[in-house]
Amino acid sequence: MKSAGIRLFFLYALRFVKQRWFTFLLLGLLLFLSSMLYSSVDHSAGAIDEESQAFFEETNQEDFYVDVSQQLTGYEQSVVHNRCGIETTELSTLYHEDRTCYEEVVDSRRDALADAFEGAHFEARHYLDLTFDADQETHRMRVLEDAETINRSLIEQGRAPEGEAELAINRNYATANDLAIGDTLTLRGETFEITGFVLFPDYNLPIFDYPLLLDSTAQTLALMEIEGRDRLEQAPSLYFAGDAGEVPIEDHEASITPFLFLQYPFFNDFVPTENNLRSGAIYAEIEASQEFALFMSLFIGGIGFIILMMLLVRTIRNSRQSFGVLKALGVDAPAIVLPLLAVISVFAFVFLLAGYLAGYFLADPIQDVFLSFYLLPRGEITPGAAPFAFAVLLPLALLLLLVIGVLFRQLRPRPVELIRPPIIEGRSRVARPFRRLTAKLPFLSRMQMAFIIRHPGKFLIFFIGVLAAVFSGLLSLGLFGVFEDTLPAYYEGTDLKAKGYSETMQVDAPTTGERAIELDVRIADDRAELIGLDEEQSLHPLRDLDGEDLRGRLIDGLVISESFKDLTGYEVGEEVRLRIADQTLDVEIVGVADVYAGEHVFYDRARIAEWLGVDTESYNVTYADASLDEDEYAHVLYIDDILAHVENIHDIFNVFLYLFVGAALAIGMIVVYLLTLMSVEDHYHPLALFKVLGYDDKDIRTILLGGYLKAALAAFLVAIPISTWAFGVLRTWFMQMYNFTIPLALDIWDVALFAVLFVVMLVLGMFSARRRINRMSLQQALTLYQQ
Amino acid sequence: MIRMEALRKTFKSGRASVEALAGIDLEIPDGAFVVVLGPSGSGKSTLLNVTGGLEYADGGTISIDGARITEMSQKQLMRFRRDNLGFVFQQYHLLPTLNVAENVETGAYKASEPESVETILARVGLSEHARKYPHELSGGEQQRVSIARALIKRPSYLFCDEPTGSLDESTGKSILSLLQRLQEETRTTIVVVTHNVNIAAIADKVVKMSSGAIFEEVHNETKVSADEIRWH
Repeated sequence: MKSAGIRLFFLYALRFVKQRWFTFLLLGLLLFLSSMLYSSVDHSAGAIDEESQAFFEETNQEDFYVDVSQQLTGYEQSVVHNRCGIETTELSTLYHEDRTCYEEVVDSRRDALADAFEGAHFEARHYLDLTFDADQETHRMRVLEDAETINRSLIEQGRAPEGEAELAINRNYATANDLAIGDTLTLRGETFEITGFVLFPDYNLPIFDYPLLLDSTAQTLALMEIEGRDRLEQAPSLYFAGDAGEVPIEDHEASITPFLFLQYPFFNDFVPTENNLRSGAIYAEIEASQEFALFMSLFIGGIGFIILMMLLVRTIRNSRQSFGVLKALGVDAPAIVLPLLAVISVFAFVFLLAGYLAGYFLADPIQDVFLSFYLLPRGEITPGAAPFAFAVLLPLALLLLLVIGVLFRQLRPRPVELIRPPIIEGRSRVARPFRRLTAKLPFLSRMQMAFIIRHPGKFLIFFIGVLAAVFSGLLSLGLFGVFEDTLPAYYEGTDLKAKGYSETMQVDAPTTGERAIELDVRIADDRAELIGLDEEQSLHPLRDLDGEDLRGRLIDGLVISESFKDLTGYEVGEEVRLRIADQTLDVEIVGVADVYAGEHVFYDRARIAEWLGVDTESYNVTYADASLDEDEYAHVLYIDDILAHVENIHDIFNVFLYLFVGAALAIGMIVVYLLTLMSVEDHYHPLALFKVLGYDDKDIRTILLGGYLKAALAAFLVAIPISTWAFGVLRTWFMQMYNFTIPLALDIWDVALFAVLFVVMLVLGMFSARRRINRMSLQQALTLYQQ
Repeated sequence: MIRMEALRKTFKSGRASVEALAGIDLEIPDGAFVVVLGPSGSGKSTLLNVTGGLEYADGGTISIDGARITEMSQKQLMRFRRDNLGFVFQQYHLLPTLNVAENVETGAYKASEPESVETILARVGLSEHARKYPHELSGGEQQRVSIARALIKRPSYLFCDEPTGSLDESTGKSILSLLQRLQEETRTTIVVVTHNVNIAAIADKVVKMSSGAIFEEVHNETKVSADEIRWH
């Protein structure tokens, strides 16, 4: 008899799910998404993290690096002059003329840094950037030599290069360009054989100069012996990799005082690895990915849980009188609850497990996407107990606890209390302020408010769900075009086609093109790229946000870019001190240019030359609107190639954004759909009453759905300032973390576009609810009403 | 006047069918207080619902003040109900998050010349309860609110389905007394469906039903006030 009873309660539970199969399917989808998101990111990021940590450990990744001036300080110039008999201001000249003398300068700088940062160990890091032709495109390469202790290279496949005619490159680049070990590359007319594929712990991203140029299919790092690098006939640039030793990084950073800049004028910057995009972004990426996945997983799963709880509470309430009678007849609560619990457990477990497995199998493709950006060793994806516990068991346990809590709470009252119809109290503290606010509104609006107030919890979920969907959507749309608004927008705003970089200052006029100077300088504590332009130059317009030409003002002072202004907070009218090595120049900021491309500041070229003590005709970069003779320059940068590289990254990035927007809309739609549907079901009695009273379907829809529609629109409007605020937070985070600004802002067109998508989402979400309202016959309404 | 001719209604459930109305002919004069009596399953509620345009008849005709409601579309019926008919049911089904005044106001929506909420509440004796919520009222008071809700739009006809079914004797009598008084004041035609034979004593006309058919129509010559009826 008892087993027959349990069988009946199982039937009840199964029918409970069956009658709402579509609702449960959507709920299952939420659980699936929640589990899949966590499982996929945890498996992929976990594998990369584990493998990377081992890689960093093995190769002794730098803890920080110190950027130094490529110019000789006054003291260094005099030492070089006295000891080596060479008169020069530039390290590159010294490199070419006297290698021993050059190395003495490098060693003295290293020793000085070791004194300045007690306990730290330093190693010189030389790099050489070049461009080369590959399949009718120009690709970029940063050549590094192997380090002794810090940032040792790792040969993934093949062997390390030996001698002057060999090199190792990144596997990503080789794969994308059909290069194999044993193939050759021609660089500046010299042939090099590829002996292996290499990774460097300080270049997890192939970022050489501009942060968004990280396309690993068109640029590669290369390992060469010094003899090989010297065949390229260009002096390398220098910085120092640092090992913090036993001293915390923060303590080293505390050593950076104004006095240090005076004592060591070659010192430019101290950048901890975690603030360095090329070596430290992976840490933030893995952490942020895992946190974001956990947050989204909790959020999506949480919404699913809450909706399921609401569904359960409503179902139990609808049957509470029957359950009361059963309790009165001696059926205990567990006999009623356990079958329901078992059915829900199986339902939830199936979807959570499916999500976990889907996430596990997606982890490898996700790792592929990660590693299409990152230059890191591939990790092995293995099913782990922890992700299974977090993606399946924990949510399942939590869900069951909630279900048990809800069911027992609903069935706890004595049988007689269950049998008695529940008294719904209309007076509520939550409602009071709303009532006052809406007292003078038209009748239908007040009705809408009354229905919203009746279920404040559900309304809150609805509001937050829609808010989150809109926020995610706006955030994704805001991220669209970030790349275009930075470097591409900058170059597209100019008539530049090519930039020819000379190793040293030139005086004779270039064969084609216009003179310019580009130098790394410091402005107080900030790095900046100083660009010297002539007033009459034609290839690089310089306008402020109002479109006013600023070129004429360069003679009066410094023009800073919008991005540099964002980074530093400098304003027009402020006087700043430019510094290269121990040379300084006080100059007033006279304008802000509409440029979002890194730390650009602009000044009159001749004034810069004067400041540096060289001929006023001097220049080190040639700007041209056509091709340049590559033999005349250390390297030539073609703008179209840069734009193509950015475009490649942009395309991959956009795939993520499309997925993100799609997921946001899908989740939003599910939330809107389920909650509007539940609203209609919850309001069957008022719905019946209104039908009897002679309200037409439109009025009823207005009352029952109109409030939610207004709430959804309110959520949309609330999401706009929240998104704007979040964009500001992201900008600040990027600035603080990587000293890099992104023009992330809410564009009116993005808002308009998402408004359209949002309306489509709402219409689809409410479509079924409307159908249910319209479909309800008066007879059905009356029966309900009379029950 | 309400006129029904050869009214039929059958409910089907699978292969089984129940003839709820088996050819009803009935006239209800304007301003009358009519009680339809019958046991459970006699078809009295179906008669009320079909007459009130809440359900379609399968055959026959109904005309109310000359308007043939059996030929109306759903929309026309809805408008007709809104403009001419009021309903009171055994369960009050007031909206719990609306106070008394607001619940009453729901009945006035889109009415051409509704009474003011204050006036109708005064009529049903609930002026001082206007700001109260349904759960703060007794059953009788809640039924008064539902009557006020039905009458605020000044309907020509008021259909009441077991209006005292959930009430005790004293409260039930007070509700009937209220209906009686309102009928006298407004000359609204009131049709009350009930299984309580004692209620028939307050009617102008009594219609007795069984198995979907009217077996007796009585013009009550000895109508009494609600206070005078014996409840059991």
